[in-house]
Amino acid sequence: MRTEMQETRKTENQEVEKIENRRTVIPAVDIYENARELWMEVDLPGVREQDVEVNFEKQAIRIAGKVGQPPEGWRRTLREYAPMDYERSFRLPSGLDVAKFHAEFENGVLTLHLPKSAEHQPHKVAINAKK
Amino acid sequence: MLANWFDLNNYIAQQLSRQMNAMFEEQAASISAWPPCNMYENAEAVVLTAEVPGFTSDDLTLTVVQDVLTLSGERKPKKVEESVVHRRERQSAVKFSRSFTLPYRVDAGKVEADLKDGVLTVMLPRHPEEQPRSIQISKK
Repeated sequence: MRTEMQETRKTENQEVEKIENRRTVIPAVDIYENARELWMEVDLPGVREQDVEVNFEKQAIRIAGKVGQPPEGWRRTLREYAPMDYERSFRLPSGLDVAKFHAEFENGVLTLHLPKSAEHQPHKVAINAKK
Repeated sequence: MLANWFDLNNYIAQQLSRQMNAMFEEQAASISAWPPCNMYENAEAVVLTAEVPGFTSDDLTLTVVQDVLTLSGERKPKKVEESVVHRRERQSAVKFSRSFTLPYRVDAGKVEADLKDGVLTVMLPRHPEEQPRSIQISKK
């Protein structure tokens, strides 16, 4: 099982800028399911599209994103979030069509579409009424 | 329904530790407010950053009145019809408004705001009349 990765990058002015101790935080996720697919919406604010990483291995999906540096040489007067890298993994249920997984990234939100395999999709059974 | 989602991390615990970090590293801020914001300043300008994933620039409004900056946002609720919700952790509120007192008067005409990858950055230059000036001391 993958747990939180506490990565520390040493910097020259470590005492001044504590934020340079980079840590990984878990992004907030919404997960929905309909008849055709499962989809996940992941908040990754501050991550550029090229820095979003999605891997699928052994029935587990891993989402990661690297965040840019906060501005330097400024006095911080309000602090409600620490810019942190994101990482989160989920074990997926079976019955998904891995080959059809696809993703979009827009306004800091990653949307992952995980279509169900054909045998898990609902299909109508015709009922023959005898007259 | 395909159940059995297994969160390989623990979201709640993580979120707490993230907030604790922010609190202990500097002064405690109100961490319950949304969106989370940071503010930076130097002698020439103030910078406000806000994490607003999912918002477009059309959904956000910024106003500056005297030394108060107000950031508000509104988006249409997303339609998720005929679906099962397995997990809902993201901010679902569609409307917010937050105001900040700036450390000095800013030049409202020169405020620049940039929305990129779900982070809003507002650059507020100090009003020229409020720029610190050094005064020469004349020798007699």
